[in-house]
Order: sequence, then C-alpha cells, then structure tokens
Amino acid sequence: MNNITNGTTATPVNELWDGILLLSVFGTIDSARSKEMMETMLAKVVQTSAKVIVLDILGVAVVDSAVANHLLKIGRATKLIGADTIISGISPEVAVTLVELGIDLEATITTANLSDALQLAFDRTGYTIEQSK
Amino acid sequence: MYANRNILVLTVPADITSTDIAHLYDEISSVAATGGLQGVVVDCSKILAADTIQARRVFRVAKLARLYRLSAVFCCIREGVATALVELDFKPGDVQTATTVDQAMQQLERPDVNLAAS
Repeated sequence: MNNITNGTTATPVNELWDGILLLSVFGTIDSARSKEMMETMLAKVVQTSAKVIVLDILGVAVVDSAVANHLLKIGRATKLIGADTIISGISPEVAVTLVELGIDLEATITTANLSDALQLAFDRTGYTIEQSK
Repeated sequence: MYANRNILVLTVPADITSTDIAHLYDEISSVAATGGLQGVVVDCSKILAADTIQARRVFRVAKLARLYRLSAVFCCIREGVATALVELDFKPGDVQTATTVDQAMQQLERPDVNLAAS
C-alpha cells in the first residue's frame, strides 16, 4: 500500500499479464518518488522481460510541469531498456493542464482510461481479447 | 558480429570509441550492401556507462540502417545506463528497443506489433 501521508511511498509494480506490468500511482509525485518509481520499474522490466508498462496516473493529485517531466523521464528510461510505457488515466482536466503548460509528451503513448491502455498493451504483446459466447 | 535469419547482430564494446562506431557502421554497410538483410540488432549489454555523446553515436546506427531500408533494434541496455542517460536529458526518440536479443529478433520479424508506430 502507498503511504502518502508520511512521505514513505511504496511502488508496487504488478505483473498484470505475461509481458505487461501495471503501476498505479496515487498521491503526489516528487523527485524522490519519481526516482524510486523509475528504479523499481526498470528492475521489474529486466526481471520479467516485460514489453509494456501501464502507468496509471488517475490517482495523482496534481499534474504540473514537474510531474509531467518525471513521467517523461520514466517513459524514456523504460524505452531505453526495451519496454514501451503507456500513461493511462489522463482526465480531461489533466489533459487541458498539459496542453496549457505546453508540455509535449513526445512519443509517449497516452490513454484516457485503463481499459484502453490494456487493449493497447495486449495488442503489443500479441494477445487478443474475445468475448465468450 | 553474426548474421542469423537475415538479421545482423552487432555487439557494442564496453568502452566505446569513435573508431568502434566507425567499425560498426562499416560492418552494417558491408553486410547490407550484399542484400537479403532483414534488420540489425544492436546488443548494448557490454556498455556499463555511457554519456549522451556516446549514446547518440550508437543510436545513429538506426539512421544508417534506415538508408538501407532496414530496421534497427537496440537491446540489453543496462538499467544504470538508462537511468544515467535520462538524467543527462538524453531522448532516445523513435528508435526500437528490446530487453533481450531474442525479443529484438522477434520485433524485427513481427514489425506489426510495434506499439510506438501504432
């Protein structure tokens, strides 16, 4: 569990599916937490040979330029070691803020919600979701 | 260097110099010129530390490969190297990367699953 109030935050990275990792972020993201997230994610990618990381930021309180920069760094680092990052949970307010701040998320893949991110992640890893009849 | 399934696999030496890079470029050019090559895998596992200049030189392999209508996949970049490069504000751009050599080969054989391109 994340313990946001006392500043010590755990970063649980879950292996959602073969080759797909999920990191749900809650609370605030500062430099120390961003560094911890990056290190944990990189280690988990290497350990699992994951191809896609879904970074769900729906629970992040404030997304300003500093937070966006942290997210970009995490995306670049994971890209370098061989995994794609999908940032999900971008609310309309966050999207407007990012545009108004002039933040270019470059080649980062973004989705409005977790289900869209999962769909993309499954496409990337070669899985298809079918409804049973 | 070895070529397997029409894929050229190159290993970048630990302490990379501009001579090493020139050697890599020469190898790609000479193999690509003969034809039949599907892509290039650049194994970066031996690199323990790199600055942005070295990283740019290595990633330029992708541009060279593109001249021969080939794709290049960079693989096995160590966590510490990735973290250091990001802290130095290095931007990998639209290059293809993979965690292992096998994954890199699969990526070249199945270009349709490249998420960044979708």
